[in-house]
Amino acid sequence: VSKAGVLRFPGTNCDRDVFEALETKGRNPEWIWHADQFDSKKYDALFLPGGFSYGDYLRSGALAARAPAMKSVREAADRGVPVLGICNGFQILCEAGLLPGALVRNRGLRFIDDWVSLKLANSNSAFAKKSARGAQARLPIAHADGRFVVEDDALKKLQDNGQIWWQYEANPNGAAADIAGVMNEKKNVAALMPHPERAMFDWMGGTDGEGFFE
Amino acid sequence: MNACKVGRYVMLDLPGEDEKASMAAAKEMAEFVLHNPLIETYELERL
Repeated sequence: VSKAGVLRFPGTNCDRDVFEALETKGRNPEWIWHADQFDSKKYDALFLPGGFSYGDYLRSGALAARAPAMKSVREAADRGVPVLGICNGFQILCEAGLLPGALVRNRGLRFIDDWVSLKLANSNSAFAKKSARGAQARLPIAHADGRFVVEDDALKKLQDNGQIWWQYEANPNGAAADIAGVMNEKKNVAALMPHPERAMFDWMGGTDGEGFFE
Repeated sequence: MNACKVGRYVMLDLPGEDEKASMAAAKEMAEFVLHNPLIETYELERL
């Protein structure tokens, strides 16, 4: 059975949810501790869960992005291993330079806890080629720093290369081009602000998150 | 009001007497983690 690595930083708090989502889908998850480097060939996929790594001090994801385990994540990403970042994981991947752009304070300056409707902009990522409802998904968001920003020329590059992954139907946070999720150029590193691990069963309010962990 | 700027103030206490070396060390930290060039700029000042 293929192994999926789930990273844990001080302050990560969606780690158990992601771990169980992977177990639900028959994957074989294993914890990866932030202070440890690991063999980049050991895992078939890597997951960076949400939370508040290092209490969001300095900038969201900034300190986690420089943790020893991220050296190994970078090596794995370079080798083409699929890497998925969720919420704080998205912020970490941007801070690490594995994804373009940055995530800054929401336009309305408030933390938003809500469900959002998303449309799939490009289906070429290693994760969730299609959700249960095709090119649409309804997922929860919970973030204060979710406004995706990127320089104009870099945004054009994202559009031209098909690196925009998911877009908000109704932009909740002021993100550039309604972006909820992006991919790297090779499409093996992908991340989104919404939480698919919180939409795995009907009792959670929806099941559109399932496809992200298959 | 013509402008309003919100920033972060980071005070470093560095060992050693060599100002040039200390400023170089501070610059290295600013470049490595203390600022994100996409969304922030920084200035260094000796106190």
